[in-house]
Amino acid sequence: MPNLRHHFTAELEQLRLQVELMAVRVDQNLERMRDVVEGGDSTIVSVALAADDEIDAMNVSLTERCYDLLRREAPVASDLRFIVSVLRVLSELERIGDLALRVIKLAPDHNLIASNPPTYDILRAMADQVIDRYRDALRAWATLDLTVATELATPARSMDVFYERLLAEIMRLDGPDAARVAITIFAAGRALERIGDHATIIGARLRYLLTGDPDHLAAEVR
Amino acid sequence: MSSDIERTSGRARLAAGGARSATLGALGRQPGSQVLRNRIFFGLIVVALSIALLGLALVLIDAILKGRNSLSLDLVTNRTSPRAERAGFKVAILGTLYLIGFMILMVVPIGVGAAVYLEEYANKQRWWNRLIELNIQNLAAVPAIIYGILGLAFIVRGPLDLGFILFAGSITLALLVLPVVIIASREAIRAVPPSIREGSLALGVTQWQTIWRQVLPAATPGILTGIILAVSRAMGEAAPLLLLGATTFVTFNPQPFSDTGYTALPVLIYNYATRPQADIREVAAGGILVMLAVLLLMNSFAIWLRNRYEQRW
Amino acid sequence: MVGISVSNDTATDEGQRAMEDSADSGEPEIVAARHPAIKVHTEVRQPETTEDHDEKTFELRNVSVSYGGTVAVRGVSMDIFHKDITALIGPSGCGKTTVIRCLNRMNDLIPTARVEGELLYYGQDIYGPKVDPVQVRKLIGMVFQKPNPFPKSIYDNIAFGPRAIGIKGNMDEIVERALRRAALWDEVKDRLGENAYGMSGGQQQRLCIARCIAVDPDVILMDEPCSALDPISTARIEDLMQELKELYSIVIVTHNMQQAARTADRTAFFTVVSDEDTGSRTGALVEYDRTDRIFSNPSDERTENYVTGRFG
Repeated sequence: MPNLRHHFTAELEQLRLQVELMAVRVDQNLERMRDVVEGGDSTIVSVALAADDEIDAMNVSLTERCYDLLRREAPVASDLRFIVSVLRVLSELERIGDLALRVIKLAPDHNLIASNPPTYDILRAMADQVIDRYRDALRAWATLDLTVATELATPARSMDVFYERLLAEIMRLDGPDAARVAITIFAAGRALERIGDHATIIGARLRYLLTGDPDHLAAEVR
Repeated sequence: MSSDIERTSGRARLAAGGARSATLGALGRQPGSQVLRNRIFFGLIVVALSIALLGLALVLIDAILKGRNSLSLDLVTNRTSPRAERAGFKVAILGTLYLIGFMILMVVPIGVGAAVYLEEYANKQRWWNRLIELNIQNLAAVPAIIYGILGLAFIVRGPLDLGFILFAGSITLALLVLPVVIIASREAIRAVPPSIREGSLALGVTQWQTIWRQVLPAATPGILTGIILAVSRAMGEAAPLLLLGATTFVTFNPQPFSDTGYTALPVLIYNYATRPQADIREVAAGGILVMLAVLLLMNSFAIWLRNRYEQRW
Repeated sequence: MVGISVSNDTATDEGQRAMEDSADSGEPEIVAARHPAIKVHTEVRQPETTEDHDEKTFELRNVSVSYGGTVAVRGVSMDIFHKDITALIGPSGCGKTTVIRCLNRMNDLIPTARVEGELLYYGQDIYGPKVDPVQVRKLIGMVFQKPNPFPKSIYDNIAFGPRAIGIKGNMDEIVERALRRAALWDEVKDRLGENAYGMSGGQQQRLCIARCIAVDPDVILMDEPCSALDPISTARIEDLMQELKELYSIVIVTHNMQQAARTADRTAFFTVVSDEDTGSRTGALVEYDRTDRIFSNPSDERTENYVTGRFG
């Protein structure tokens, strides 16, 4: 029968919504990333950079707000798990944003990426899957859905498969530009793979938030 | 500061001034009716105090005026005598001291013990304990002569049959002042905070040890006050003693346990005061001063004792 | 809480990746438990599960207390362990003070109090017919909410208990040892003859603790010992409790949840249960567990509501 600390409860809800908002911004940059992988439009880069600055600013302000709540309200139990989860999710989102930006910055080298069809296909598939996983995480956060969170927390083998195939294809590259192409593709592939990891971690953190089980705190990535 | 005020507009200055005087008004004097009432009340209190002090002062002044000729050390060293120049109060002083002395020896253990029982052991829900409480309050108001009759019937004659001895007088006086001592001791014991008792009991100390070592020492100032009141009352009682063998004219030192006769200060003063000779009446007036002096001495001792205990707090 | 140490075995790519990520973000990462490259040592701070802590000092079996017909607290069953600090928390009227006063039979002082159920102290029923409450209180001492030193000198305050009980020995030593254990010796060693009331509130409360210790008890019960004190005195006494638990089992009633979270090994949460038919309010034990669980992830929703302050 909750009937006290209305202000605090409202602030926690606000915090959750703000994290969602930041996650949406990151999602937009992930879309831009997919566009870059597809088409290599260099004009996207500056837009993405500006968006990333916004994301960073939101990270800072929301982190400060978390510290403020910790200081002021001395939260325990589910409140504490929530604020700590927010802090961790913020850092995950920020990492994802950075990684998306890393791929976006490869836009000028799109011709290298697109040059080799097998790796190009794999990269596009990886981007799609990563964005899907990320959107699952976003949905789980918005609805505090334990089932989705648990699914996310158990990492998908499919990303590993993609990654291994990508490496295999890179090894087969040949030609005068092989080294440059290899490096570019590899950079993109790694960034995409890590985005997937971070989405998994978000799922694991959400699961701990919802269950409070100390075993879930030692999150499993693989 | 002043330059700031100069720079502000006239309207601002007016506003500030108005605010200031409004505040002064709020903080300042009370409404007139309140002040008057306070003064009247204070005046009435002073009047009451003056009347009380006036009574005491009149007694003293009267005694001094009437007895100034007889004031000398002879008053306390001379024995009883029908001749003014040889009359003194030594016998009576001794009698009073014996009477009060024995009385204290009896009243303190019984009175304090009863108070301890009522406060610490008695279950206040039980009807008989409530009855005891009620009766003690009533007994404090019973006239002293009734106690005299009681003593005559039960102590001098009757079951105890001690005869007309000083000790019987002591017992009767003890019964007289017992309610006062019990009530005062009970109040003093009640005034000891329950937290002290709880703290002591929580250590694994028994209830009796708690009472003996914590509660009673802490209640001692109040108990001593009760004893002072008791002594002051008992010293002035002549009527009951007259019934118990305090013959008015005794010339030899009193023997507490033999019925050779005894006297007390108020009794002897009464004797001297009702004589036809004027000079003996002066001796009576001197005796009043002697009695007040003895009373003052005994009370001062008790007060000193009480102060010593209070400093321990 | 969980402490993770990551070993420096970064032989594989995956290990490398994870390490770089954490280096980039500047924050320690919690990494895979089953990742082959990285060993994770999880150390959860538990109260030491030595023999001491498994021994049961008190066992309460369905204890109910009523005052003159009104049931104050009902059906309490819990075990209190040796050399633990056990906290009792809950809203006003939930019976936590009533329960703690049962442990040393202080409820006997209230004529209308009745205690039902079993209350075992090392297997012996404290309320058994042959048990003398005075002996019980020698072993189970109590410190009260408002400091209540005796109107005597500091020395006599401490010496009173041993003297009254008949503890032989060098009284000076006993007094000094008690004051040292209560972390008060240095402050008062030069003024042992002074009146105890001249001390500050925090010092008076430590004096009461020293007084309790002087009779060499086994258990110290504390009924909201810090509610009347300022934060610094409170902190001093909380530190003191950590030292004292080496020697004594401690049970503490507290309104301050942070205090319970900070100091207690185990916490019991009581609540007030209203009877719909009669409207009477009775205390009941809701949840009793290790403190870290109560404050990070309690099982009962009522506990969660109370500790997060949503419901008092």
